[in-house]
Amino acid sequence: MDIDELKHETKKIKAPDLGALAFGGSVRTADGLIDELKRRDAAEKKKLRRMMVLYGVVGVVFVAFALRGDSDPGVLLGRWLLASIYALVVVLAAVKSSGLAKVDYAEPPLAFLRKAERRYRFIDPREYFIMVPGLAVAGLAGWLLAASGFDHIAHRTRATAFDILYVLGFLGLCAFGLIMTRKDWKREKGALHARLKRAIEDFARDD
Amino acid sequence: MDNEKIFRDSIRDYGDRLYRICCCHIRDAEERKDAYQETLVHIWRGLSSFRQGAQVSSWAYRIAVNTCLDHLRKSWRRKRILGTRLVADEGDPFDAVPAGAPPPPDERVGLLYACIDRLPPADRTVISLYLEDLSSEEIGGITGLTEGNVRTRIHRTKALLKSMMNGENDGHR
Repeated sequence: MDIDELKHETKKIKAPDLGALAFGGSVRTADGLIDELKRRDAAEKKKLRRMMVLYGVVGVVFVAFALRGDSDPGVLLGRWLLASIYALVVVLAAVKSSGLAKVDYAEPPLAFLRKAERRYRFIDPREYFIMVPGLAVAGLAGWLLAASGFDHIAHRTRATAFDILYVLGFLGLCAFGLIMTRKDWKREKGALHARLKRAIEDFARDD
Repeated sequence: MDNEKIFRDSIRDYGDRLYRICCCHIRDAEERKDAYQETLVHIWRGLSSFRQGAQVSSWAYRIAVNTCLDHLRKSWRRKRILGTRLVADEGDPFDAVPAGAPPPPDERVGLLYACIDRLPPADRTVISLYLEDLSSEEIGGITGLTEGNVRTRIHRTKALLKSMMNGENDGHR
């Protein structure tokens, strides 16, 4: 059987009517579809706005908590650092859900697959630039808050032992989190990531 | 040209072609319909970044190809969640067509799609565009592959499909 002979036969296959798609029963024409898509876009924007309001309200509560009067400057600084981490998470979430992080389906497939592969990596190298300082700040904030509490119950001479224990505990927690996340990634996305890599190799192969 | 007109024209002029590209990438009838629907949504959402003066057809085909590649990822996730098999059962590509759906126009076309389904993704993409009568240059423009690479892939894939359809190459993939 020759492929070129079958070419014109494939042309008999037609796209399903718009009414047969899952846009909703009212969509029968291109104009109806345009209206439906506009409605969906508006609903998505509304959802995004609601999310931003929610983040804002939680942010205000967080800042109010951070500003709560306390004589210990270490505790105050610790709270401010936690509040700034929250702000960082909110900004990252906003960037991710806004158009900046949207997938561009009009790119050449190789570039498209490479970006998908990057999204499915365990950790993108660029994420280290946010993750490492973020964890360091979180660790510092935790230390400031915990050290203040410790000072109330123990003598200052034991502070060094506390600091060492804290650092070891924090690093252990980070390592545990990393191992568990890696395990979860391998189970959830590992095979898919490998599949994407194979597809990239296939597209990149220059015969 | 305003965006709504581009969208209307895309559906009217290229809808069938976009759907056939989905046929080459996705065997399950319902998933194929989903991919076609997603293609239309991505075309609509991509209109804001569409460069005026660029060819609508190439742009729309590229969106269809990427949507299909992305859909394979999504269907993999769905299958994984549902605990079903990763690789679809071998057989006729129109097996999953629900009752009442139009039958395949030709059994040989069904067989052709079944064989295309067994190709690696890049070859599948190239042959899906070739079946729409696109030149090697146009296919290269859409896929980002060089023209020479496209020609080689078409030549090799056609020979492979022919042997697969004649039952000479059952162990491919």
